[in-house]
Formats: sequence, structure tokens, C-alpha cells
Amino acid sequence: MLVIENLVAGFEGMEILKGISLKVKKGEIHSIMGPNGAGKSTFSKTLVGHPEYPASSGSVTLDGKNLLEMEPDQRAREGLFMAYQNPVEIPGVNNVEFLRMAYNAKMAHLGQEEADPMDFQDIVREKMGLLNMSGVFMERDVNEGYSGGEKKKNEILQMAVLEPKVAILDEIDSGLDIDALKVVAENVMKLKNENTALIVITHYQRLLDYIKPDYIHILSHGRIVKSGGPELALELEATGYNGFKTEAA
Amino acid sequence: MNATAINRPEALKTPDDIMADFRELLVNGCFTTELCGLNAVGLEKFNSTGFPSRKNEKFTYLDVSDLAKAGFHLRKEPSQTTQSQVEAQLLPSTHNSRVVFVDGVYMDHLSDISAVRGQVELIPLNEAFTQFPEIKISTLNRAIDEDDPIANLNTAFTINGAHLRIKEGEQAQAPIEILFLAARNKSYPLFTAPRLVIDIGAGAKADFILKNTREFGSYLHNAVVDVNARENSESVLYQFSLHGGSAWRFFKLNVDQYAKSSLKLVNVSTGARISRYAYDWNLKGPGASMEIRSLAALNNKAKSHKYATIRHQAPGCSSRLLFKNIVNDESRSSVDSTVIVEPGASGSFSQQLIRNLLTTDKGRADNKPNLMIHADDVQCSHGATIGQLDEEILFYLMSRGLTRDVAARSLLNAFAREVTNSIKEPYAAAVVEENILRRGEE
Repeated sequence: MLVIENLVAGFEGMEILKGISLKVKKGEIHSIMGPNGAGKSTFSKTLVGHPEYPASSGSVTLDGKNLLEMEPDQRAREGLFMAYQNPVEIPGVNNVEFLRMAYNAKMAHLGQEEADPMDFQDIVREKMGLLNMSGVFMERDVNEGYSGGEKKKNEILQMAVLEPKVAILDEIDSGLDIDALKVVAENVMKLKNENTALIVITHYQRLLDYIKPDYIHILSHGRIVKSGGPELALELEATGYNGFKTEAA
Repeated sequence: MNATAINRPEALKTPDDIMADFRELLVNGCFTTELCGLNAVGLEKFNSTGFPSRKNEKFTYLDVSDLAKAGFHLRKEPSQTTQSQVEAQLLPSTHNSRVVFVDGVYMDHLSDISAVRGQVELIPLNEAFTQFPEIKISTLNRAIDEDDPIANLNTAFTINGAHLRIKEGEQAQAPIEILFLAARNKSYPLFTAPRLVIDIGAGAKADFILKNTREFGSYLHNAVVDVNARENSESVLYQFSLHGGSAWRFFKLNVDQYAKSSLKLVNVSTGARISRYAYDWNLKGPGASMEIRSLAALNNKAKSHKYATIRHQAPGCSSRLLFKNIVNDESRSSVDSTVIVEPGASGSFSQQLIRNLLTTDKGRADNKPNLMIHADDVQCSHGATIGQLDEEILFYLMSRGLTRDVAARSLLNAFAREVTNSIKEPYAAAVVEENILRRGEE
């Protein structure tokens, strides 16, 4: 279980998150929604340990282990994953080689057998089949020359291979047309299981047409100003974020 | 072979000392009678150019004054190197297609070209001078035109070299490894001057692999390779210069390419106390094409310098130069390359790119890509970049579970692949990749 208690964090000395608390259990889907500047990106980057978004107080634990004391790679090996809004391109690093290194890092951490290149091809092919992805992804370098939709699909492929305990989907709907959004969201739902929790960060309700959250949290000015069930998205659709800002004040 | 004619250590401390030593050598007889004229030309040329200083434009970025102080000696005893010692150093694919130098001297009895016998001829350079006057003349002419002081020292002190010929129209059935083997010798700083002439016949095809073994102690490897690539020939010259350590490594490549010939050089090095690779490359025939893909992965205080002059001397020639440097620790790289499009060389195409990756604040990379165009209707470009490891990419990789060190190595490897992907021999590619990523060892 991921437990966030009174998390305060910022960027370049500015305090952006002003005390966030959240509990995410296995298999649950939580959506964090909020307008521009609410702190959504800071929240996700602080969780995964981006050095420019340090936490100044509070705690974050995953199955009882303090994530804030860990480097980003340690957090990942403990089971935290983030699908990025704008994944970086890495020319020269083959997609499958990279994935195998990441997979084996996790397996070594768990004390399990690492996969050799041949075995790993089978693992990836199975996941790509599940996600209806083209084999071309195996030949290419990480995100190099990918379209926006391909990058998002590749993030979900990584999630499928690494099987995290908690996956943060950081505005994966951004830059996608409605068809691509549907494909990516459906792929996410194929990976939903009782062991993986999802934190879906988004501006818009439309993503939640496909990824049905159990809980929705409205983030405004660095605070969660309201939490509720799926019906909150409909309320948000009707009132916009302005109503919630007022509520926070 | 009379390679052991020197019967006393020759300390080479200053240009004057070198001159005095050589005069005495001439009195006592040359290393080999046949190469005496070549040695004399080298000495005379060295005397005219003098010992290189930073004022010499070829050495602007490289201080070699320590060379004169090192007290080098020429090889004074016969090689005891055995076949098994040679075989231990070879790539698996080249056991029977090898040209072996030990401490700078060509070793006929350790060389073996049985795998390519039908396509390749190999003879000691002194014999080639006797049997084939045209080889003697062209080698002497090159030596007379040589204006690189360090290459002139090779000419002056080469004991015996080799002549390698790929027969006209033939394709070598295996890559040919040219092994520069350093025998274990810690008793005195050694001056070595291997010399190789390669003649690639018209329409012939061959791959060559030049490789240094690890040297011990103070060791000057000062090699000169002359290449004639005849009409319509196609060749690749791989150069793996790993384990440089405390050695000085100098390498001069002189190339003449004729019509529609193609020659590619893939150079991978891990630096040395000082390493300098100089390329003097003439595209003499219409439609000739050349390419250099070079990677230096430098650690500690290693210094690497590349100096290239490419001359387009005929219409429709192309040149592609890519120099990449990974500068770790306090190492230094410099690249000074010039493409000259001579009058009449219309339709030339040329690309030059120098890319540096600095992983520390203490490293240094100097770049000087030059273009001199004296013809119309040409397409030429040149550029240089210096960058560091991208922190956002490092973070991305770490956020997938890779440690920072593994993530950094992945990025270094990615940077190197533009060069290492050109290595077709899988074993060599694996060895090279392993060595270029071994940070902090050399």
C-alpha cells in the first residue's frame, strides 16, 4: 500500500505541494485532477524522486518502506512506476535492451532469476501481443522518432513488463487524439489487476471515460481540496475547477 | 632479417642526440641494407622539421616535449616472442591471416596468411624494396614529402616493415589482422617504429584490423602505414587501440585512393599517456570515397589527438569524417581536421562532424574542423559539438530501476554506437564495447 502523509514539496525553492495526504491500496485506481499550476506534475515527480522536486517534509511509504529516503532507481525497484507525459528520446539505446536491463534490475532486487536476451524476447512479445503493439518497437531506440501516441504506448509497454505495485500515469492523455487516447487507455485497463494500483493524473474527464477510477481527488494550489467517488468527475464537468478553488479558500 | 643489427642501447634524448646516434648507426651499417636509403631520408627530413613544438601547427593541441626527455632506446635484442604468445592476442577469425610486428619490427616467422594465400601477398619490406623497385620508389617519395616530424622519426628508425598486397580483383576471404605486439620489457623505455605498406589492387576487397597489445612501462609506438587503394577497390581498415596506459602511441596513415575506390577507417581507442593519430589522405581518382569513424573513450589523464588532412584532388569524390570523444576524469581530446577541395575537384561531397561528451568538469575537448574549397559545385559541411550526459535522460533511466552508474554507461554506449556499430566482426565489437565502457581503469 502507498501511504502519503502531509507531503510538502517544491521546485527551485518554491513550496508547491502544501501538505498532501493520500492512501492507495492494491488494485485501486485513484485519479488526481486539477487545473494548470495545481501541483499535479510536482506531485508525480516528487513521488518518483526527481532531484529538482524534493520533498521538504511529510512521508511517503510503499509497503512500509520510506520512499523519500531512496534514490529514483531504488524507488522503481521497490515497485513504483511513472508513465511520463513527455517521455525523453534516447538515441542509441535499443528499446528492448533497455527494457531487459530494467526488468533484470527488478528481478535481481527481488532475488529472482534474470532473463537472458532470448528469454526476454519471449516476455516482451507476450506483452506486446497483449497490447496489440507492432514488433517494430523492438527494433527501435527508446522513443526516438516516435509519434506522441507511440511514446505513450511505449510507456505502457514498460509498465506491462515491469509490473509495478503502483503506476503513476502523468497526463498520458495529453497530445493524443481521441482514437489514440482510447487505445492507450484500453491498454492501461488490460494491465489493471488486483496487485497494481494506478494513480491517474489528468486535466480532463475524458480519460476517465476509459480508465474508471475508484476515487477522484481534486488538487488545487498544492492541496487536495476534495475527494470523492467517480461522480466527482461529473460534478467537475459541470462546474469546472473554479468552484473547487473557492471551496478550498 | 637483420633487425637486430643494433648492438647497443641508443638513448634518444634530444634531436641532436638522435642525429648523433643515427650517424653512428650509419657508420656501423644500417638496420637492413635495403632500407638504408629510407632511414637516411627520414633522418634528413627530421633534421629539417626539427622536434615538434606547440608552434608547429600539427601539434598546436599536443605537447610532446616529454618524448625528448624520456631517454628512449631502440630495440637491442632479438625477439623471444613465440607463436603461442602471438596467437593469444589474435582475434578468433584472424589466426591464419595475420601480420605480426613485435616491438615495431615485422616478424616474418610469426606472421601467417595461409587463410588468404590466394588473394594476398606478404613480404618483408626490405625484400619488397629489392624485388619491386616501384614499391621502393613510391615509399621513398612518400617519405620525401612527409612533413610530420614524428612520422619522420619512424622513417629514420624503422628496422624492418612489411608489404601487404591484395591481388587485383580478389576478395580476401578473412579479415587480415595487423598485430602490434609489445613484448614484456621494463628495463628501458622503448622506441618502436613499425612500418607497413598496403597495396589494394584494382577491384580488390579486404578488411584489415590494426591492433595494439598492452604495452608495459614507457613505450613509444610510432607507426606509419602507407595505403594505396587502386581503382574500384573496397576496403575497411579497423583500428583498435585499447589498453594505452602509460604508453605514447603515434600513428600516421598515408592514403592514396584512385578512381571509384572506397576506403573506410573505423578507429576506436581508449587513449594513452599521449596518443596521436594523423591521417594524410589523398582522393586522387574521380569518384573515390573515404570515411573515418573514430571514437576515443578517455579516462584519467589520457590525451588523444586526431589530425586529419583530406584532399579532394579529382571530381566527384566524397569524404565523411566523424570523430567522437568520451572525455572522462581529467582527460583531454583534440581533433584538428581539414578537408581541402582542390581546383578541378568539382562535384565533391564532404561532411565533417566532431562530437564530444564530457562527463566531468576537469576534462577538456578542443575541436578545429576546417574546410578549404578551391572548386565550384561542391557540397561540404563541418561542425563540432560538446555536451554532457543529459540529466533528464539519466533520471528517466533511473526511474525504470537502473542505477546511476548503469544508466550513465548506457548513455556512453549509446554515444559510442555510431562508431562501434560499424564493426562487423562480432568478437571485436564485443571487446571494444567492453573496453570503452571500462571507466577509470587505464
